[in-house]
Amino acid sequence: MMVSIKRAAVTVMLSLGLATSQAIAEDEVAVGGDFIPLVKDKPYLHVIHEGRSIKVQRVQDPDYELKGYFAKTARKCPPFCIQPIVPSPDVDAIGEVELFDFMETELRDGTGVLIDARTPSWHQKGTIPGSINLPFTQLSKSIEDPEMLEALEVLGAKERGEVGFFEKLLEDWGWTDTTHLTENWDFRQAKNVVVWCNGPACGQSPRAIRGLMDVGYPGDKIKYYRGGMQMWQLWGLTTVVPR
Amino acid sequence: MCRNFRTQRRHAGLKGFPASFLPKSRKLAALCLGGLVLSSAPTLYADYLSDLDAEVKKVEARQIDGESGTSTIEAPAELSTEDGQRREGVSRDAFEGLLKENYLGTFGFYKKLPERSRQEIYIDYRDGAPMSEVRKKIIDRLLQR
Repeated sequence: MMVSIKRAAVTVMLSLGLATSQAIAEDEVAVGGDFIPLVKDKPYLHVIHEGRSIKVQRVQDPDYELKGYFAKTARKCPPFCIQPIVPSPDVDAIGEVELFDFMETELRDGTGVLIDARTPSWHQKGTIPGSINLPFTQLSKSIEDPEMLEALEVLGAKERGEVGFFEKLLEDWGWTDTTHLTENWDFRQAKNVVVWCNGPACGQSPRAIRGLMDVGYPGDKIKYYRGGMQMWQLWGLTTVVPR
Repeated sequence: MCRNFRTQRRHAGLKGFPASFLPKSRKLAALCLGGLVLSSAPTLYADYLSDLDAEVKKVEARQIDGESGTSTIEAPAELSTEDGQRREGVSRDAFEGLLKENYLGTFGFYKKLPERSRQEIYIDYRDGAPMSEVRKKIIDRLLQR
């Protein structure tokens, strides 16, 4: 009896092992050969979007061509003029590779937020997986506005309240690092954000970035994905239509 | 208050108000200017917002599915209206073009249908049936349902 149970267990373990190795082999086959990875040695990645795990990868059809709105080369300018690489000297621009890294690190561990800064009607047409919609209209509000307060709360900034005498003194003497402090706000725990919109000719995310900086959000915690939806789609990367 | 400031400023220039008045007047000027900027802030991007609204109507809802490696595009806004609303302006050619461009597989099935069924499906679409329903009907007709 005991022997048969052991044998059964061994059989189950062997079959499980076989199944796992088969799955790995299938995955290797799936990403081998002509598979077009995100970057070298990174075939795809996963992000959480609306509670679901979304696989971000490139369209594998070598004949795939971008069609529709984002394939257009010209739009009315102004307002849809080509934007500079950086919207503010304190903010760095990033490309797709840095965005992949961001998705796999800060976005995954909760220290980063990916912001779709477009108005909701644009967001509803499709977005980059893992993004939350904080429209530039909200991020351009004054610091007293409830919408801006809500956004800052989401992004991890804290109101300082009453600053004690000694605390103030230490700050004034330069004994406390005040890099991410303003008179009323504490941005030390604020999240690193990547802000994007429709692409190089879109002014929505630059406006959002300037709005955030106007209320004291530190420039070194903001990155600008200038390529936006246009470049994301040009590379045939996964997009999602919000539910 | 701004009008008062302008009056005071004029008086200051004409009659030589004491120097201590000037910093106060500058503060008032800054306040007035600030007020003007703030009051015009919503209108600053009101035009931009209306341009954005006009532009977004040209965009097709698109889902690029990394899993299957395909791109799904939903109907362009110009042709897709609220469910139940008649699409008076959409000709049968436009409907077929839309189908061909965005739902190639379904369009293949559609072409295999007899003329009577194709006409029936076009009329459904024109009368406001959502695209999901239209696609289901095409498959139903193909499967003789």
